[in-house]
Amino acid sequence: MSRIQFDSVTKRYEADILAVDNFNLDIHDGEFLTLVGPSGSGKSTLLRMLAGLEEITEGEIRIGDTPVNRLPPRKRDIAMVFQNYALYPHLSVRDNMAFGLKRSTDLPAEEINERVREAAELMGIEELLDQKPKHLSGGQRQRVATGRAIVRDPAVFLFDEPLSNLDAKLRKHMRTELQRLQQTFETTTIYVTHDQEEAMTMSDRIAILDTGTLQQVGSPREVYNRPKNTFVAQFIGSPSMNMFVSKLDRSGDRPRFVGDIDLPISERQAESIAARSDADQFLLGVRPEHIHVHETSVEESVRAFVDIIEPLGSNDLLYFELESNIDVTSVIGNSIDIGEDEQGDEEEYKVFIEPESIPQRYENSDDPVYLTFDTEYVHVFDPETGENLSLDQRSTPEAQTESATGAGD
Amino acid sequence: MSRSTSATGGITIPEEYQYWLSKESLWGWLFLLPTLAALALISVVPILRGIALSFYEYGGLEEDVFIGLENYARVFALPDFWVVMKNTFVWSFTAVVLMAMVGLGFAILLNRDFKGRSIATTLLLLPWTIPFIAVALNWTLLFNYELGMFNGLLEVFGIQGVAWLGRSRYALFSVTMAYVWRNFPFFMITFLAAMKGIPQDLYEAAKVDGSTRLDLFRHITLPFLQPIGIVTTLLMSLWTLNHFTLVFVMTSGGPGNSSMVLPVYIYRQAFIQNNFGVAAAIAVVMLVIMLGYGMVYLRLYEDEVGGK
Repeated sequence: MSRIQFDSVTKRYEADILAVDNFNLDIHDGEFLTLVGPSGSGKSTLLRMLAGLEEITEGEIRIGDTPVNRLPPRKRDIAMVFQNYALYPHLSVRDNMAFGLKRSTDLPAEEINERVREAAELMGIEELLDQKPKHLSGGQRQRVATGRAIVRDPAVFLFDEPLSNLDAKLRKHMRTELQRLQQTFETTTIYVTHDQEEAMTMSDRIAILDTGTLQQVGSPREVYNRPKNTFVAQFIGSPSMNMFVSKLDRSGDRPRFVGDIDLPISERQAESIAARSDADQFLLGVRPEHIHVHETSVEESVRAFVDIIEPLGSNDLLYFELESNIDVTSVIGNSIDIGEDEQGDEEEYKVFIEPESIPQRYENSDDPVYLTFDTEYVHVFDPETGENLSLDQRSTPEAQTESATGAGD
Repeated sequence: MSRSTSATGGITIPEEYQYWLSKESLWGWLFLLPTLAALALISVVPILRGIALSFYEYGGLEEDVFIGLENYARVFALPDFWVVMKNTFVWSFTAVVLMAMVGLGFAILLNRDFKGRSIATTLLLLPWTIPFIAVALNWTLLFNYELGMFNGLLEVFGIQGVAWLGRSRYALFSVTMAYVWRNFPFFMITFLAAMKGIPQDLYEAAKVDGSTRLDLFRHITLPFLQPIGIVTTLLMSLWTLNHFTLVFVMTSGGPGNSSMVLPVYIYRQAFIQNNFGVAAAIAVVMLVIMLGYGMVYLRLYEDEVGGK
């Protein structure tokens, strides 16, 4: 059994730099869990504490049922793949892969050789066994590094941004390959990345970190569809979620949001939002696929102007501006992190459209288009706390247990 | 195509040599000239003169007489010569091995994080900055039978002191100690630099792979030190073979020939015994040995450092 437990784990550097703050997480046996977050979020520190390469300031980490705080790395039964692969340059691929088995087991040489050969076959690097690492390409090095980990057949695999040095195409390919390997071995795997797409596609569960604090844990779908706060909402998903600023107006017959975008909402929702926050304005988060663009005005539509239309193949991405909008950063609390997407262009509004459903002539023209929103997919965030107010509070723990059982199979 | 030739005043000069005759190239040679001249005067001419002399009977004020290989025959027939050869190799080998070991030891210590590390580094580098003549005089005092520190220490433990430089058994060894003390920082600093260049993630990978501390040293640190270690060892061997000052000042090769090494022996043959021809022949023998070392050095340097 190799479940992993992080119990109130804190890491402090030189007494005042808090890298990880009171981190709690239970990782199931055989689960593929991804730690994702921007740089400086503490994800690598967590992995390194688990590996025994960093000391744990407070709290406890358990592998299986054994607390490992005081165990040296070699006694933790883990294998790790490093970002720069960390292949031993003076050793052949074969010796690189055999290194761990020679150090950590008493296996006879033939047995070691056999296991190295098997692992090499699995990684498709048999013909490279006698090469030195310096003669290998980036992709081949990655395979050797992964092969070196699987040959040990450890209780836990640790991956520290293993694909970030590869080009985009190879990265996608290796992603699938690593996933397949993990499914074959059913070894508990912790994977660190800053790439939310990698996290979404590979994991049973994703743990999202920001500035050393756990923001949310859940299945890829759950964190995508039910982000707990603005950070998760914007960090997960590419392009990232659109954020509009609107006031809740309960003076009319039906409550509605008025501001950047106008939306009617149900009385029950308005009630629940008002009960959970006394904010004046709210952030409305809408993913690009939940906005529809029309050429003529329809009921409850919002006027917008097309900036540019990017063809992506299966669909197009339309960038738009509103007639007037309030700067998101002017309303949010100081402590709130609006996660930026990889391009850092959080200011731009985007919507997915069917290819060529909106003619090109709208680009940069004065002719408006009309937007409607799938109101059931609009997330309402408290600008002071960043909390998602539209999530049904009861459902959150349920969803977690659901995804946890889902992860086991 | 004017690839291969171009006509200059009737003479055709192949293109690949044209640069050598260009104005730029000539200016370059002009700037090099003073240095080249000085080098030729103090280095090349004496070497050639020495080689030539080895084939002559030195005549002093008279004309030198050509005697072919006679000087070499005399050298190889000298019983002293073989003793000196043995001493020279023993001394250079022992000194280099000890310096490498001491240097490695301190490099390992200095590669750790501790308070006062930079002060320690500076202190340990200090011997290397001291002129050999000062080292020789100080260590002669330390080895002094009556007043020396070593005999003083032995006395504390109730052991009878030793005439370190005055007994054939200990003389060469004592000089070696002084030499090692003066020169180990060279190894220390090259090893330390090489250690700093080892990527940390290799240690981390090896730790996760089940390595103990000793494994880390044997399988990561040592392989990384090997290339620079080989080159440094060779270079240092060359310098040690060549070394004159410490031996000359501390023992002059004595007692008897017990601490005599080639450079001092050549000096004695030439200037004490006036056998300039024989001294020149020994010097040529030494030159050949050094050239051998030098060639191995260059080969290894290309393979290990300059190479791919």
